[in-house]
Amino acid sequence: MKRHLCSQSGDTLIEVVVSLAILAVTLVTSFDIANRSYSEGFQSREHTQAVFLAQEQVEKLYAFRNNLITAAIAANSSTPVMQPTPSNFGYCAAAAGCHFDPGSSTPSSGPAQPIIFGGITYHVVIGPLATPAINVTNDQGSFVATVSWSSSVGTGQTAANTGDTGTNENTTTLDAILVDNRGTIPRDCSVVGSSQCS
Amino acid sequence: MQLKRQNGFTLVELTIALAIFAFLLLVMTEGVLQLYRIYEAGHETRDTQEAARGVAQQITDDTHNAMAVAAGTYNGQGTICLYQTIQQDQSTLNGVEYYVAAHDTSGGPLSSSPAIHRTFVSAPYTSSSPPGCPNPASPPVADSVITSNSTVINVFQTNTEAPAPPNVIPRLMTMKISVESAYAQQPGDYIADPSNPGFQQCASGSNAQYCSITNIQMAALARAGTSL
Repeated sequence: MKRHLCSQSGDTLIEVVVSLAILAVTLVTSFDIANRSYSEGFQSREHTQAVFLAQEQVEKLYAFRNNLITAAIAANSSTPVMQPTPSNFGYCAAAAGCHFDPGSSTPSSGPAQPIIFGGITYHVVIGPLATPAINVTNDQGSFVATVSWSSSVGTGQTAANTGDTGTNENTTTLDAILVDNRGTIPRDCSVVGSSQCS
Repeated sequence: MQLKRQNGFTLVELTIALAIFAFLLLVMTEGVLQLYRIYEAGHETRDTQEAARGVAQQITDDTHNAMAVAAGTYNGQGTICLYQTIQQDQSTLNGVEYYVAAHDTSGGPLSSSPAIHRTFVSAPYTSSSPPGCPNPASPPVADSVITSNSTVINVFQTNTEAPAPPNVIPRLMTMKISVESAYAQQPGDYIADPSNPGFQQCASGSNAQYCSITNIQMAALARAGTSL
């Protein structure tokens, strides 16, 4: 009995310190992983918003193409709609690019006014995808909508294109290949009249 | 048989040990709680994103299949009508309409409805004027409901654009979609986005630690019509 009691010994200070250190490392690592996961989710949302902004500009670009085609059909014109003129796709084919303002169906020169969602500033511009961007002979154009923004989270990338000068720069792009397919798309009979729809 | 004298802990030692243990327990508990907060906030962010993408994708699909689009208001929220067919006598357009069933306009949360509804709609057509977007039947009946866990979906500031005259039938639809998490429903959770009228953003502070709002600005173009 006496020997049994005397043989009892507690943990040493080293053991306690090591176990606490392991516990702390585990906790900090878990916290870091969870934090990174949250940041990725946050960045994912920023990308989602950026993609829709790019998609918005591309859809308006297609609408502009359709409007030109509709007008050409109404005027019974065979002139290619893809022209590098300011009233056509000239701004979008230039290095400065173009954009569509809210409520406007025609492109304006340069990037759009910055769009701010929840403190994040997005810069949107449509520019040439190829050189030259407009092939008048084939009546086709190739453009790219670019959205750039400084993320509130990220890896500290520096600005890679126009717009922001800060870190955590992100960019997403959406290509738009436009052709004058007036020979194949269904014609707008309310405009061109029944004789051309038969 | 007399046992050797054994020394126990003194009261001071015991108090110090308990204080250290309590401190460590506090740190660990706070760490675990922080992990939960991060998980919940991330979950809400993903949830609102998923709902916003789902709504935007379905509206885009319907718009791409439409030959004419129209916008209106119902219960203070934006509605959109996407007409896909026209009757043979050219008198009626048929398509689908999106609307939010209920809306709290008392200055509280943006919306009390956790879903956006989609139903069939018909509207009269004349070639000289753009089609309208009538209110849903009363009481409204939804043919399908787009919803997500713990979120509120709003569609607002819808706008339509027609091709150049003489064509007056709108083909381009622009709109804003806002999806809020359930934690973004109490006063103090969110504030108005000063840079983007109509949109809200999460407030800073502990009240809004789980708040998540996904805002989308989008456009979709209807196909060229064969009958319009």
